Amino acid sequence: MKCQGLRKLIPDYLAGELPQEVLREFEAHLMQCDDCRAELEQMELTWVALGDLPEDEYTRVVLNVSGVQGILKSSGEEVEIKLPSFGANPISTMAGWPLRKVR
Amino acid sequence: LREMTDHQLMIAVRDGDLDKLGHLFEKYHKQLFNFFRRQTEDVQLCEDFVQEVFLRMLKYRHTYRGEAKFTTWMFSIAHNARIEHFRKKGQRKNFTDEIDNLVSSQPNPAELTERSSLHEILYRALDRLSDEKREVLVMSRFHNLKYEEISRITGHPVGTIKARVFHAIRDLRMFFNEQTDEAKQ
Repeated sequence: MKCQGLRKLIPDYLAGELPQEVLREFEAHLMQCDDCRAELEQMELTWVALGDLPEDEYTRVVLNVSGVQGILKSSGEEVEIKLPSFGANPISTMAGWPLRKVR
Repeated sequence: LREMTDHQLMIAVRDGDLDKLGHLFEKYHKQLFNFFRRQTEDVQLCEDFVQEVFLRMLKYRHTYRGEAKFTTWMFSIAHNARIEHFRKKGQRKNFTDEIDNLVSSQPNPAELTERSSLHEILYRALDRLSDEKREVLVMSRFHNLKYEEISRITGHPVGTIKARVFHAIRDLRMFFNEQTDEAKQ
């Protein structure tokens, strides 16, 4: 395996998608190539740091699609969203479903 | 219901049992919100996107076949909704502008001191990636989607997806190093 080949495989390595036999070649190259080892180390640090990013707290919207109405709970306040009745021709009705909350 | 898979729920929705969409909503609305939130500053817009995805699931439920995983289908809808929105708005970033952005849109040092956490720097770096790179990175890193799935979702070859992930991480690293070097000075 050459340096260019290894670098192409870095995304697979980071995502854990490298097949075992390729992984062995990958690691063998790393053992003898300082440049690739340094490159991978930098990328791995970034990959790991990304994994530590907290998710936004998202508890604000609850959509209950049951029958003709859903209820949105928005940070403590209850607001109603007008859903179409699922009648004979629901697809055309969908076009009228307001995307924004009805306050 | 506990025994029903995503696929079975969506098949039920497709066949007219619309209440089942509520269960899919409960399961995935947060994940979808975070998918958009990692790519868009505007929280209200992210909420609208989530609504839009479920609206489209209902609207296009007859097209659901379940050949791919349900989440692949769902993220395809999310991907398209987002692209269409920004295309209409004309707000998509130019793919080739990003390196200029990396260099030219640095925060001032005072601002950095205030918000100098690693997370903040990373969020800034993510903001500065091109849409194309950021989206595949978000799908891969935060939603654990395989490159094959991302390829199906975006319609781009797997090789392109992997190259974007590679360059996205390298750009992030470059930006991160620049920021931390600047903060030290």
